[in-house]
Amino acid sequence: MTKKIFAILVAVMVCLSMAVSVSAYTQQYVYDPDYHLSDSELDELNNYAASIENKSGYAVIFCIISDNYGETNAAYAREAYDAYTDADNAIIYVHNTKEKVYDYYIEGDKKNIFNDNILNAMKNAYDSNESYYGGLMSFYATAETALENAAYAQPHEGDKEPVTQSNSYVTIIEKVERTLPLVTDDADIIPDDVETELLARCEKIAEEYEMEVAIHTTYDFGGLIAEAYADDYYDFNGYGYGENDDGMLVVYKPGEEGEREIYITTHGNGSGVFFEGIREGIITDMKDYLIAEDYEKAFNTYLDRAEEQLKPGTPVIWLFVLALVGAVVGLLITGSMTSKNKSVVAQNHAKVYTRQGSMVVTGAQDVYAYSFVDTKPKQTSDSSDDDSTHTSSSGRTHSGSGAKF
Amino acid sequence: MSVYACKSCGGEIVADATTGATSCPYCGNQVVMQGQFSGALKPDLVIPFKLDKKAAKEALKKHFKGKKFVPKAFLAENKLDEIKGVYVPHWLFSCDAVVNATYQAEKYRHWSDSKNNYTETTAFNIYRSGSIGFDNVPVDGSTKMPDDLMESIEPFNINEAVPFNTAYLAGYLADKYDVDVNQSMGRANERIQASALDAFEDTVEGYNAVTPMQAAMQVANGSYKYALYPVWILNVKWKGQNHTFAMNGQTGKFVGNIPTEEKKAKLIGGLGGAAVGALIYIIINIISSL
Repeated sequence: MTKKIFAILVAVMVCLSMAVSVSAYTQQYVYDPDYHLSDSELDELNNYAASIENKSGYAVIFCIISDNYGETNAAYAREAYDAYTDADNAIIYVHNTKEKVYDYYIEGDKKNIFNDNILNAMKNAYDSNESYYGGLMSFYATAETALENAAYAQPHEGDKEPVTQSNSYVTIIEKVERTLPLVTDDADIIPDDVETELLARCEKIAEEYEMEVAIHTTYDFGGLIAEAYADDYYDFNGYGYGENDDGMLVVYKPGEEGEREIYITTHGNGSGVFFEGIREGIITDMKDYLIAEDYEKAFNTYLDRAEEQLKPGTPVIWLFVLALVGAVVGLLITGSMTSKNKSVVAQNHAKVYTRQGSMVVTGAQDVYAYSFVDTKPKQTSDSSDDDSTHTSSSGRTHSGSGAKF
Repeated sequence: MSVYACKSCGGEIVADATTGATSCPYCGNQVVMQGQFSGALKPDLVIPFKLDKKAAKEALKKHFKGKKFVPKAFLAENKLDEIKGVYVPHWLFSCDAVVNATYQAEKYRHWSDSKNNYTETTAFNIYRSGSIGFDNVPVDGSTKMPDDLMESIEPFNINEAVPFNTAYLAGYLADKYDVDVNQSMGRANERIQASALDAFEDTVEGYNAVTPMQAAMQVANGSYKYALYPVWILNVKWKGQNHTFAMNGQTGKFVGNIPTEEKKAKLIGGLGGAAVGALIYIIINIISSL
């Protein structure tokens, strides 16, 4: 019901603002119910936004509000999206001047153009100007640049779905076919015969389970941190099985104590199969062999654990989990049954003896004491926590775990 | 102990000092000790029995039916050792509870933007005062009857109570009170206070959380009555031990704890549940290997 009233209010507001503005543009893009902008400024901004939509096919809408009608700003943005535009491709940005917060709602096939970095750049452009007009002009200029870059980098027909780069411009990487083997011992630490065996195992795993499990050793991360190096090595060398490039790659850098580094990156279905606990378990199991420079055992352990995880069937740990859950549920059920055998219970209340209509409230005060706002950051996809995913420089999503020892 | 003479056969009846009605052990004649219920000891009210001995026996059978983890031997070998209709003395308290209470209450509002989740907590200091009336809150006036057993068969319908007359005692046992009104008042006040405070807390509305801070209750316009309530007492003997069950002689509400094999229940629940869990694991593995 609240939503309906809200939608009607927004619709009325849109109609009114449309009625008073007479201009070349047919859709309004900037909504300013509190009149921060003059009519001419509003016209100019709307014309600018209209020209952006004409060029890019993308409607960029901005609302400056002080009242979100009891909704959250995110909900307001979502509702306003439906109320303000019929466009299939649009972003609506909301600035609540009273709560001093920003939010947005985005939809359409250019959704990934407006990644966090670009949205931040747009917000910073808006914030960096003292006037609302100047801020909005900068905001639209940044949006226009992002859309132009995206248009410039349109993928060819038949290419993979475009991916965004986490910088202020957008690039597209085409699908790379893997030319390297599944075992690349650039550090030359694995005996040749062992390398051949490992490669055969990796290929067998890929064929059998449709998941590429690869090994790479190197002395040089090329100035990158282990995570970035492993992700790039995986992405730019075309590792991964099938359409989704499902797979896992272990990268190992040998060295003296404290300099050895290992990192396991996963992509596609590999991230679901080899989740954080599994990746860390693999690293723990490999560590002693790596320290002892027994690379045959180290990498065979890696492949053993990978195969265990890929084999059909549920890991044995689930037997214990299910048995434990079953036991708890069983105890609750029998506990509920036996509790019915006890019916003697002292009555600690006298509600049943209340005199009908006898209650009289002679004093009632509800006095405001204080209020505070607790802010908790949302979990972002760029989090460096091992359990969450991160975006590589190619814009693809990876999960990973690593260690230095 | 007191000694009475049976008016029918002249036999000597030895009874507890609190016994008000019993039957003669020699001729079975019903005996009412008039002195136990006369003068200051005369009850104000009595609720007559509405349900008979047969209904009590049926209720006992029904009570055992469908109960789990009861020793089989108990169900097979228990013997209804004794069944007696007893008028149990009760004190009935009426009063107005005058309440003064403070609470702290909180309202929460949640929203989020693309970066953060926000929770706004707004706190209020709440004050409530007023009064609420309670009528005929019963307290068991007999030490022979366990208080929790008597409270478990509540409530009795006081509207069906009649002025006391010894004629109602014929055919039943009856005791006079041996816990006086002053000793019983504390228990009544405990129950009244709990319900009065609950009622006032319920008036604190529109908040997400309410915490009682301070509460005080005073009693005004207090009064009491002395009444006899009808109760069927059933003693079941098993392995030399008595298990007492009670039935409200007016409403038929039946209570009593049944012996339970707790260890067996825990063993079956724990192991059985674990076995089902293991079975699910095996089935998942079989399905996923197909």
